[in-house]
Amino acid sequence: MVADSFESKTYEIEVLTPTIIGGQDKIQSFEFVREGEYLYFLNFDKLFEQNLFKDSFIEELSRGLSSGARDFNIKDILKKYSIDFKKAVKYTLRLEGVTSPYREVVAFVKSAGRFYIPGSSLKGAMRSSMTKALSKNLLQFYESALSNAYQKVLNRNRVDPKFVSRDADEKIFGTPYESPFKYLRVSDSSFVEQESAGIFEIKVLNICSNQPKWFSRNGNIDDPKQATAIVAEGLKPGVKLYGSIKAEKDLIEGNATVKGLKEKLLTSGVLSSPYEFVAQILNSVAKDYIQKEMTFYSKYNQKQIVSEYQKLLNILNSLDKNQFLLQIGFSTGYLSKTVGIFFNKSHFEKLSRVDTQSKINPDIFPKSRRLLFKDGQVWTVPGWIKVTIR
Amino acid sequence: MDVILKGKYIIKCKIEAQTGLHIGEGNNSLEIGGIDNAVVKDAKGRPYIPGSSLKGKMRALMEFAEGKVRDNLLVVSVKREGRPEICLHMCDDLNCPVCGLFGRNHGSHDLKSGEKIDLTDAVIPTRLIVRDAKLIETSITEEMKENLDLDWTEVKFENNIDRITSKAHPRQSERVPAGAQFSAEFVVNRFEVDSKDDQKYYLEKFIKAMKLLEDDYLGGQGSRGNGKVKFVDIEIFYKDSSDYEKDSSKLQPIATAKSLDELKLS
Ligand SMILES: [Zn+2]
Repeated sequence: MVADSFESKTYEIEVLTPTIIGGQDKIQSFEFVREGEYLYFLNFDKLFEQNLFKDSFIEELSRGLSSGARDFNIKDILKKYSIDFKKAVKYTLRLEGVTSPYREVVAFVKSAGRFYIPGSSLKGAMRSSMTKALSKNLLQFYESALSNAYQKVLNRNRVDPKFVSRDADEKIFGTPYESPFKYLRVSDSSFVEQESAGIFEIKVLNICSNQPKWFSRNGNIDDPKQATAIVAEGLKPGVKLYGSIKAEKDLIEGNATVKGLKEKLLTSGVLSSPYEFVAQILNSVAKDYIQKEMTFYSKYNQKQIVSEYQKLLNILNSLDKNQFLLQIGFSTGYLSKTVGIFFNKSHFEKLSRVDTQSKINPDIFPKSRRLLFKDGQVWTVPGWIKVTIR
Repeated sequence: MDVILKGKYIIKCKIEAQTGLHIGEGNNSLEIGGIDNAVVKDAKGRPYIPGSSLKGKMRALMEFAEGKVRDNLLVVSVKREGRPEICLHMCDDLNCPVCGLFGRNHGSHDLKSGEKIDLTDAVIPTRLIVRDAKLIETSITEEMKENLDLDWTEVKFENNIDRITSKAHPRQSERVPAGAQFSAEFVVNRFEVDSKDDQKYYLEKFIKAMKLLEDDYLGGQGSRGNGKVKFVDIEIFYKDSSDYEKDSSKLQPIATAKSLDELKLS
């Protein structure tokens, strides 16, 4: 019994669809060289070190780097001075069916250069998903927080869109000291080999006057091939990562200072462990979310995405009690990260005034979705993982 | 009470960070040109693990594991607005493994349950000494160093996402990257108290505390990924108090192990 409550368990993440955990950085075009189906990311310290005596090369390179000129092409300079850039490479990634032009690559988060999934990202996605299972009376705190922010805007007070939900979060889960989530611990994952990562292409589906269109810098267009691409480092489907996780009884049951999740979330059935409780909640939220998204994509005739979601739904329906599906990371969209799935037109009218940067159309929000492309075709949705706890 | 020092167990090992490690400076001050939320460093700018952090965490874990977290066994060490904020276990039971290993403070204390306790008669010297654990510089490889933001550490960003607007609020904190190792040393004193010899009792309790720490975390943001540590290359030496009177000769370890799983005390 004592040993039981101290021991942590192992989690296994299996990447189901390309998963991008965005770091803070974007990698600029002069920082990598493309050759064939691969991008070689350069190590500038090494490049300088190995070519210290080629004065004009160093000069030309420094000038190019500092000016940030758009026409600056690193590959041409390396060729001109016959420098083998492969001797000064940090890492190499394969292009996974990227066909559109791009000038920068969204960097995956790394620790000392190594790919991994931070515990904070996994825990954050779990918490965000569990928030969608809140009982109706608690969800109302988010509605009031939105109304309060809206009132402030009407009264010409400043509202920071980064902190609209903070009061509600605290009313529902308490201060960090009182939060049940302190009894959920998720470690960073193990590192994976660079072969587990690749370069992926994302495009933005936009619904305009009830029609599916694709975002491009020149406006929304019909032909996805001409649409503007976002290119990012991501983990490939099939990749597995491991870490440790601990969900204590107090997460669910609560104690003298902390109110447990049991009394906050909608649940069904008797559950034998905190892990099963968490898995059941996450799966019921995922199911609801997937079904709503399938309705959306069916309406706008995106057969490929509907079939991708059908595959996820099949996996979801065959999971064991210690497994759950979760969407995580970059480009997963507004509905995945928020409680917006419960909002209606009047909420979005308020939101459009609170968050003026996001161009919110209350009739249909969110009206865009980010989708992965492969070889020029619509492929799948980003960030779905399967987690197994042992 | 008669207390005689019988000898010292000296535990030498490496502490390996299995995920990033953030042991904060505590004062949260922003040095000029520095980053928010920095890690504690020595005079030469190398991160280290203060002995006090290790000892404090191990004590807290042992309090739980030994069933000492109860209102009538907890002493209030910090109050806020008259209410207990930080509590810590202390008692007058001379066989208590927590107080015996980690020590007690003199004098009278307020218990969380409202009563008072006087520990003057129960205070014996603390058995456990924890030294600061120094960074083993070579454990951060050249390849890792090329990818670090700072000399020995990286800056990790964490996004808090607003659940209504989806706008991100990034926060940064410094941490030592996974793979870094620190050289650690612990001393467990073996006493004879009123003719009762500790034998290996407190050494065994200390090893239990090491195991508990491996299943928990050290430092900040532990529930969100940081601070998973492992003890490796463990050597335990024993120095009898009579050894201190002899000419110094090279001590042989009484136990060695690659990891705690393999450690066996004869
Ligand atoms: Zn005690």
